[in-house]
Amino acid sequence: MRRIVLVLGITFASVLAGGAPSDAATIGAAKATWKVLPTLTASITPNYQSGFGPQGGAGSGSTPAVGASAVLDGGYVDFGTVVAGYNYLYKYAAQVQVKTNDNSGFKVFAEGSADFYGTGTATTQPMNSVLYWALSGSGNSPFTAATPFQSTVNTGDTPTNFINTNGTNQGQNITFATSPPTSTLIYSSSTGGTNTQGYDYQIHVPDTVPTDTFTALVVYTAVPN
Amino acid sequence: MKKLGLLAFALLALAVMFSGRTASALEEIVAYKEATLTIQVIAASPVAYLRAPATDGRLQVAGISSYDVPMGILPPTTIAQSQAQGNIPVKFKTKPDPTATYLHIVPIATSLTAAAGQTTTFACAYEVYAYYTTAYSVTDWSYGTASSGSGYFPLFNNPQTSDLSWQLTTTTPGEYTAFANAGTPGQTSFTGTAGQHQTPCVNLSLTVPLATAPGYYTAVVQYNLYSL
Repeated sequence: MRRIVLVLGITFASVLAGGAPSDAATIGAAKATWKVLPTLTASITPNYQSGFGPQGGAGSGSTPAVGASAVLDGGYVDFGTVVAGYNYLYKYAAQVQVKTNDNSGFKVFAEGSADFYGTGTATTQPMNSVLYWALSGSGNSPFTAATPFQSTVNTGDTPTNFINTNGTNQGQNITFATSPPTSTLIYSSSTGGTNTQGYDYQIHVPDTVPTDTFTALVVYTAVPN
Repeated sequence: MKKLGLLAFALLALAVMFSGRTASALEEIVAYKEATLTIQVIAASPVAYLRAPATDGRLQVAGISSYDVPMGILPPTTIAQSQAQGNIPVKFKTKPDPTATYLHIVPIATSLTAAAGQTTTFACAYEVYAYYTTAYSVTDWSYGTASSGSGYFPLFNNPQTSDLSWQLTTTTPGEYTAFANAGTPGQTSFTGTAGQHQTPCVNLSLTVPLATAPGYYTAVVQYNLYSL
């Protein structure tokens, strides 16, 4: 935190009127202290690099292809059609860019605003056994060690209707009663400035999943240290 | 006579070719499936610890009003900070597995949590469903492993023994067997008779070396169904 202390010495001349004593004079000092507030901005970009999309499902008889709701630098992370019981990796799923003037750095948390919701069957699939994240890397595969996303215990938006008919992300969030839980930490930096990190996603499609279209919302929250 | 000699030679050559292969390699593979296990390693339990103040470690993400306070008044424990949020919508459409009739994995435990320096068992971590119209066998091997090299926790590569071992509830309780980690074809998990399905539970035992860093690890075991 930058702190600027400004000491002003101001001598007041005798500018008096009327019956004031002609030799009256006041000398004083004023100390003004303020802090520059930490500012932090974050931009979250889906499908952030050419070549984004799913791979995997070997042995399922189907070749994965990115869904129609995914576009470069926007839309959904859309795995397309996947087969029950198989794993898939989605390359270049999300990029998080954080800018802050706080030299002590920042943390980024991510969690689902709710579990996956199937629009046709009105059923849910647990976030923490379906969707996983790993730092983007060329060596990632559908079986790379990855960390499960958790569904928030705070108040999160339901995954329905969060994108309007023209494909615009409505930007729903999670309201934290206290703060993001530390178990949802995905990135930490001890310095300020601009920091950018990409993430690949994995889904482990349960064997028991019904035939349906499932959606969920992953909310990223960046806070200064 | 010359033709008989050639035939005999050909038969001998075939016998030599197949003599070194395992029986399962001669069988017909019907389906294969991967059981993906997510393992969360936590730090070893401390012998004793100091209790931290309740406010420690709590991140406050209030508004952006920050101010100094006059001397004599206790300062607030946190300085209000700004925060930023954004989100990623995720979507997938499912369809049934065409070979699930013959082989599929039924996950029971979604995440396996174990402490460093300890051995933890997980009763019925998942089930393996198998069925076929003929007699069949199911084999398992640690996906991605090879017959040499160090590999990664917990399965590693042969000759290092896997830290993850298994036991079926349908077999006589006894020693756990380390997962085969020398590549394919692996080891026989169980066999079945024609037209009868089985769904044995798989008990797991996981030994976490003390030096293992806390975090998430993945173990993938592939099951192959062969018709006999």
